[in-house]
Amino acid sequence: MLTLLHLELRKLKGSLIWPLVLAAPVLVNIFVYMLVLRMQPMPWTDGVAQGVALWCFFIMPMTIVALSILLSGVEHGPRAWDHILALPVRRWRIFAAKAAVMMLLIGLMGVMLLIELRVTGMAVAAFAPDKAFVGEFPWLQGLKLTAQTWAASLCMGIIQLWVAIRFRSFVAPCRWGWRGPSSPSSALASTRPSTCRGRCR
Amino acid sequence: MPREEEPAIVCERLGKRFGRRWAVRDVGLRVEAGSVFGFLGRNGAGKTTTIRVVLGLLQPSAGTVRVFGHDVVRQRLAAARLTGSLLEARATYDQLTGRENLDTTRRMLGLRAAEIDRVLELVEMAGAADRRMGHYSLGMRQRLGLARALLGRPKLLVLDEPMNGLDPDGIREMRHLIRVLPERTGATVFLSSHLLSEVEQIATHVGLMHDGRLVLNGPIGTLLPNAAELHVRAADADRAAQVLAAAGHAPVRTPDGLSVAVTGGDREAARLNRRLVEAGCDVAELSLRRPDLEALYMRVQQDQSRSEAA
Repeated sequence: MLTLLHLELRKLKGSLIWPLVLAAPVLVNIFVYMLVLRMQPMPWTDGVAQGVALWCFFIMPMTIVALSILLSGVEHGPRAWDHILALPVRRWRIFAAKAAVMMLLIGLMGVMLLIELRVTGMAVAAFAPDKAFVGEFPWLQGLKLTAQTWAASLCMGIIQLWVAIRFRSFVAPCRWGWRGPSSPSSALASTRPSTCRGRCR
Repeated sequence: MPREEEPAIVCERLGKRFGRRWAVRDVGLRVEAGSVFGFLGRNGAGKTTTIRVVLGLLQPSAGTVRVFGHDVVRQRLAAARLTGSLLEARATYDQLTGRENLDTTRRMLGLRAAEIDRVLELVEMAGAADRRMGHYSLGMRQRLGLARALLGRPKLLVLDEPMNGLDPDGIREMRHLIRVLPERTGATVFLSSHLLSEVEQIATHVGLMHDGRLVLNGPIGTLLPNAAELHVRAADADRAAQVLAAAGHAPVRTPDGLSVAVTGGDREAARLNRRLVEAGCDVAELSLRRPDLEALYMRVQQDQSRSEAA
């Protein structure tokens, strides 16, 4: 299994996946930086919570869609699936290695997000000292939140990867990616509590 | 381990259905170990579907397929261990070098590193192995694909249209490689192609698919009849026809001369030429036209179309 993992990572050489892995947490930090400048100084715990919230509700779902498309595209592009699946290797291991790489990259981005949040805090302190975060950086809380976010994304990530592998075209995983995760929240948002029925128009 | 006494591939009443359409029906195929089997048919005839079933990429809807005695559905791993395949020349990672591409498959198969140099030598690609695949020509890709198929010393090589898209030089090189492979590696070669003249030069056995059915199957020598057509162009066609008739043949007039069926090959052609000259006929042209795979292919296709129309 480790060999398959190593090979999957090797195939990513020169792929767009690495710029994506670098850019996604940076994007969250840009938002956090802009947000902090508009608000009163806040404790580090709130800052980390804001950053992780932005990550898991906004950037991470999009990143998972893009990652799944790029990861499956490594085989879809050159039509390599037939070659791989004809080899005397158990197929579940091939798919498991792909899923493991995807979850590894999501985890890596979570850790990078945390480190970059610390750097963003330092930048705020340097360029806008009056808005600087208060207190110590909560590494433990941050790691815990990131780990929880990562665990929560497991199911979505694997389903998303399955859709991307199943359909050669990127349209299906994109549609699933945008609609799938957003459907429950849209459904929740559109459900009005019984007390305001007829009044909340 | 391959079972030595078993044929390389045996398909029994193989069928594959996509929805309500049968892509392959009732295919009974036997590929003997050590042979080079040319799998022919026009586009959509069912060649690639059959190959995909043989490789375990598709489940048959009916019948069974065995590779050296191993059922490709129930014993897929055992069958796959004996099989190397080249399905798509472009199925490589362009960002990696040729060697890295081979190494990816080698590691998946759990082979030792020296195996890469062995297969590179076999396909005469050792010099270009460290170049990025993105810089390879189609011919080089095909050869590297063949090298990849040879990793692990498979007993059966399945090549789907290995000469597709190659220029004449590439076709010649690939033909040479495929021809020497059974000798160098001991592998049975099962190749699909629609380049009939190429298959004729390589294959020892052929199978012809038409509309999802195997309509012809056997050693190439027995499928191609011995009878050839001798074309004669002489100054006095009537006199030449008399001479040929006297020699026991039934000449047929063609727009540009005479045509007679001969079974004795070059020797008989030379004998008839001598008789014509001795009889005072000025022979301007004498050529022996042997029926080739293309003629056989066209005849079978026409027979099939005619029987379907009837």
